[in-house]
Amino acid sequence: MSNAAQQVEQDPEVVLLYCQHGICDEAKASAWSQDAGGVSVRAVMMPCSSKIEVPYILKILESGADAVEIVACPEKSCRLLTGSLRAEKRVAYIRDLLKKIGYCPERVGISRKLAQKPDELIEIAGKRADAVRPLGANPMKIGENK
Amino acid sequence: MIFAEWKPLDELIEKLKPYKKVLLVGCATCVAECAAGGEKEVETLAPLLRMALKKQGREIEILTATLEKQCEWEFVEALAEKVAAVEAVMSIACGIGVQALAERFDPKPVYPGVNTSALTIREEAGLWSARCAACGDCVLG
Repeated sequence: MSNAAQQVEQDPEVVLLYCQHGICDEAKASAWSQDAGGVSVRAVMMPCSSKIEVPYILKILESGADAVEIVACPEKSCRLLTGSLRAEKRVAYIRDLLKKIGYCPERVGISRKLAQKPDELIEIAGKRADAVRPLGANPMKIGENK
Repeated sequence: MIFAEWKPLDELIEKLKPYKKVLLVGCATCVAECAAGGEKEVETLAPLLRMALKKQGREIEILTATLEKQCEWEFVEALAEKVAAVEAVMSIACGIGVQALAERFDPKPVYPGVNTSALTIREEAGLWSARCAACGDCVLG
């Protein structure tokens, strides 16, 4: 089996970047990872979704993650007022850039949620994984072990 | 303020195709203000170009640097070591910066990554309007 085909068969690796208010207080953790239900999740808590800059997301994709999902607060709940709106605009911008270089924009997404339990965050990552599974592995990953 | 915008990505990708190691250089002054050629844009464009070229089966190393001013020789000089280590340079500064690099590091190929289009004033976030054509025959006022 070719290296590329083997990698397509692996569970999609989704990096979840979530606002500190996106996770419930009792489960707060700055970073964690988990393989569950056909998705490999690497999660990182941010002080606010607006701290997630365009180069960060592109560098995560460049490093081989299959998708990036941002969990931002609902618009009216953002404690920095326009933080989650900024995150949403950046996601739209990145998706447009990805399209221009021939990558599927589905590799980056955003959800608006508050105080999620870890299982619920994994479910959000799972939905992103389902969106990118038909695309196969991130082309940056293919051939990296050669 | 000098205003510039990225050239189409396809055009930039095509320019870099022959190379294995290049330097992408930004400028932290005017083109950073208009979000075309500052440090953030350098760090956005570099992974994009690497991803696009990798998808086409081409491995390329893209080093990055952002000068405080690409239109001052003192700042340009700081790039000498990095430029010596690459096959070509792409500048996302205005035309002045591109020409400064091309002159200082001749015969190293230096490519422009942005189109410098106008001297502008910022009307609001994300909106600039052209106010001067630098025509050399001023009748404004």
